[in-house]
Amino acid sequence: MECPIEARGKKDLLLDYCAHALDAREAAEFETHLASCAACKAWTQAHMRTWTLLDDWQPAPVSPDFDRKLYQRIAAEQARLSWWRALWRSLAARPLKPALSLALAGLIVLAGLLFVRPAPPPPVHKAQTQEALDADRIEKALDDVDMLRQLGTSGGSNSETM
Amino acid sequence: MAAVAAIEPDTELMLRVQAGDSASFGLLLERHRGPLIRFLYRMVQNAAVAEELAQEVFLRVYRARSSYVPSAKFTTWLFRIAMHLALNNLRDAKGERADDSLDRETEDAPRLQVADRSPSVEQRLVENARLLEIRRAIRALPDKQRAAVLMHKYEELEYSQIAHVLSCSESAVKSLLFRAYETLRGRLAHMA
Repeated sequence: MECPIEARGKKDLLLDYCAHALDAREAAEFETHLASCAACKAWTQAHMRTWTLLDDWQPAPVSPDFDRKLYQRIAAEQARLSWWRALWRSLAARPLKPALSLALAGLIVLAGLLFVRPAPPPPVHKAQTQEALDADRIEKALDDVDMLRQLGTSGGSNSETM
Repeated sequence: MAAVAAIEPDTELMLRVQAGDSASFGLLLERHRGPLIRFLYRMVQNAAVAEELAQEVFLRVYRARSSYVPSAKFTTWLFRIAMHLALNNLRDAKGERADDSLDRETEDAPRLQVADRSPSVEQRLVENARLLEIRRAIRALPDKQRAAVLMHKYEELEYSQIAHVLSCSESAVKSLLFRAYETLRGRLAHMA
């Protein structure tokens, strides 16, 4: 058996042995190791002494009215809850329903006014602008062509006349 | 989930509480009141505060009945709530404790009768001093180590349960425990 003090992750074996949490086979195996390992023996004995010391500390007994106090608190809480439930029921009762709906609608409108800001103007799309510019240019170019044609016609007649 | 409910009687009781059976809550209280108060007492080292905190734990359990989901052992859940409350209490009381630490240490000790001069008074004085040292040694441990020792030594919780309560791995719990017991051993060596 590997020494629990020297092996990594085996120290719980020492704790479990001292807490009597090992099964019979594991305990017997450890005791065989213990007989030949001075370090484990010293550790176990010292730990057992501490363990026994800790046994001496016993807490005070529970108050006899612990349950009564607890049930009182639970009853008080339930009473508080049922008060809220009753209040809610009376608020949700018929005659108040239109008033509640109005109040709710008012709240929604108010929230809308407070939180919904006017949307900024939609950005002009670059492609649209480009398209408009291109149409202008084409139109201008066509006008120029027309003008040149007219000039050419009149120029030709001019030369003929000259 | 269904498997947990089938094998764990506490979970079954809690599911009955969820269904509106208040008698099952009484059974859970009966079963866990003692261990829980003991644990809290040893954590905060004040009997009145421990009972107050234990009431809060059971109140929270009762409040949470409708949303209860049996994802872990009932005891683990209970101790998790208890540890959370105890740590909050210790944090809040840290400032106050510096002033009245001596009063707190002796307030839960058995009262000595001044007129009683029998040898048992001396014995009791020695015994009280012994217990005081043990309590001091445990109190001086870091919170997590202290909780781990109390759950392991006194409440005999499994490593996996302690790990769940402390939100850490099982190997971390083992090393916490090992360190804590080493420290206690050093502090109490003169008494052993």
